[in-house]
Amino acid sequence: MTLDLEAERALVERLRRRDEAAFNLFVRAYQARVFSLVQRMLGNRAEAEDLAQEVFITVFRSIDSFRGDARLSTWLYRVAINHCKNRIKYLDRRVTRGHDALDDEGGKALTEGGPVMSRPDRPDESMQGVEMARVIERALVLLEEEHRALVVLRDLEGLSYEEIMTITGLPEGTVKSRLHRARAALREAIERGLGYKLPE
Amino acid sequence: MLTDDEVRDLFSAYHDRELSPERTEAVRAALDASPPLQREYAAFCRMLDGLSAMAAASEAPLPGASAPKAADAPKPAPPPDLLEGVQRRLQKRSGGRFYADGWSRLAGILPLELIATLVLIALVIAYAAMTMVSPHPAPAPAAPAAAPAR
Repeated sequence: MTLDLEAERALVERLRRRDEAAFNLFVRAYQARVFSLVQRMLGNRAEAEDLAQEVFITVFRSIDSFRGDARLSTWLYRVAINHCKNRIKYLDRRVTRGHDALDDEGGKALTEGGPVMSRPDRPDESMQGVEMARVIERALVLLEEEHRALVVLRDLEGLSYEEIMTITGLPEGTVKSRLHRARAALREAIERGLGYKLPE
Repeated sequence: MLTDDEVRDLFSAYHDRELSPERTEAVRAALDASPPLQREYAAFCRMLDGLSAMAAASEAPLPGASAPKAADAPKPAPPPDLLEGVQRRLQKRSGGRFYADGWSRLAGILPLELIATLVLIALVIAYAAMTMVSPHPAPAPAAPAAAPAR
């Protein structure tokens, strides 16, 4: 469900008046997009479910600061991306602390060997369908958060460069060059995880 | 003339048709002039097709030139109780004072018909309680008979 500009303006006015029905409508209209973005950024459904709720609460509480320069959906994406970055940092710190506490062989494998990804016996057969979707999801979470955000926004959510500039606050040239690096990094992460090069 | 590294940095934007006409022409010229760069760009495009297909894949083999766009990929479905979760948190953190109309919070939890029925029952009980009290005041205790005057 996507609201046109006029409907969006009316909705923002109702949100500012703290009209509960408007908030319900807003969540129903955007929950799929927000959850999809957050799930792809975090790669963890339980965390994504929690964070998606926090995104909407932040939007509700700060709707007065929405100036209307961008689309409501773009602003919502910005809130979501910022939440994701903070959560990723928090989770990384937690994982790092967890790894510091591990001194057994399993712990060493986790810290020295990098992420564990299943390697298919027959890559040509296994590079299909749902499994490949899982591979790309796992590779995505290996990217640094800035790269991950760009790939998710552009390649998975299908946003325009202009929208991405608004969301990230980056200038156009930076978005373009970083997106290129992000895509290259994703490819490397996929190949590393699979243990072989993607066909060219 | 762009250097090879500059062209590589523009691969994404060129592929996405996000460059100005001048920049597009410059990249095209650089690619025409350099077969190795052309091959690199072709590999880059196949990689993007593969990534898109991977994102969109449910059954399709990879990589494929006719891969669907990633934006068309089935998205992770939100939990069915996301809205309820948001409302619960809002309610808890604001102490029920977030929305302008406090009654609507109750209406979100209970159907309006049920609320109306409960109110009616409460009114009936209140009315019954009031009418159960005898409408006639209890007789005052009889005053002792005055002693006859002697």
